[in-house]
Amino acid sequence: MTFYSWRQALRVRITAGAFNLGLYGSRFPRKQRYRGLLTYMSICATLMRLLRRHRLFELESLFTGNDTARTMIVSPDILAVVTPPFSDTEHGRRLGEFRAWLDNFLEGGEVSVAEDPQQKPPDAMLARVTPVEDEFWSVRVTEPEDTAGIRSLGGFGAKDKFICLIWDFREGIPVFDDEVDAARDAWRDLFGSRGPMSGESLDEYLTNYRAV
Amino acid sequence: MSTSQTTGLSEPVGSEKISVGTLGYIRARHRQRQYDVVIRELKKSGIIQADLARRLDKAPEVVSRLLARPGNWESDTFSDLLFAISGAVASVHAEHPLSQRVEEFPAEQIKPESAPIRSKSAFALGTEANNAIIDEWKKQAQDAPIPIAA
Repeated sequence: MTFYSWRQALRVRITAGAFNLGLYGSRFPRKQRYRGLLTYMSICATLMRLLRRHRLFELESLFTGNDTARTMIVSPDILAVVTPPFSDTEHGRRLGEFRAWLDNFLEGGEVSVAEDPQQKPPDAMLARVTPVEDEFWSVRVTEPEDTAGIRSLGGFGAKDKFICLIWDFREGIPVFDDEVDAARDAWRDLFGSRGPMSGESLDEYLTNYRAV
Repeated sequence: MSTSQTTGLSEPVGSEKISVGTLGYIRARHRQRQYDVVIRELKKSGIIQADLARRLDKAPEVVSRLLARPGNWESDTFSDLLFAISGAVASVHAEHPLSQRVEEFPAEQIKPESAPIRSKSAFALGTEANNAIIDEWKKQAQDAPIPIAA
């Protein structure tokens, strides 16, 4: 689809987003529908500006391009490390795993999700972090098994639309709460007082998931 | 609109060694595809994990762990899971998505809009070139005009 201006693109995105969220003709009460729509509209407007200014990037699958079931927005730092070629080193192997996680998300693959930060299985692929009300989630790359993996933190902008802001090798995160603070600061720097999307159940965050 | 298409992943040619990073990416994709197939069958079948564990004569926690993420299953484990869940067997065939992708997207279309062209060595983790690229992107972001709504 060709957009003639960013405003047109924004209008299309907002409309599409509203449909994606199931806001038109959904079974949710009207008040709840509008609350969701307004939240997404405000984040969407900011997001479009951030994408234009190259402070964030919309990731595309290495295999399917922009033909994806979900959306993944990443910071320049993350884009730099998940962009191939992946080096012929242990770090390269781990970053290849990280990119595969992101592409799997983009392509609508199954994601095992832990909602309770205190009782998450070690193998969960995506887990909510404390404090729960701040709505930040940890992307958990747990392979290769002989490594501590990678963690990347961010939040949902809308259903199936994740915004990934910071990342590190797990062994480089001595205090996880500090990492959450860094994610919160990064989000605030980009989106101001508008927090990540908040939902009543996992169904409102993403499709094709498996609660663990 | 900034997107991230790259030309970095391509089919192997000649006798050039494939990096462990590339192999790591491809292996992870393969594990995830297997996991998708198994979980899809599990959801479709409606079988509970306890019954699946009994069918496989495994402890429930072992089955629970297997289904928690796309792990590095042995070929036999993948086969056992699929068959035990729904009597399914895997259909195996080879695809060439990277060669197809090159045909679909000419190079000028898949070069990142915003980023400078990067050399292979630039993306070795932690190199000065990599940091310079990130700095350049940040500078571009700061310098870019902010669109104002009418």
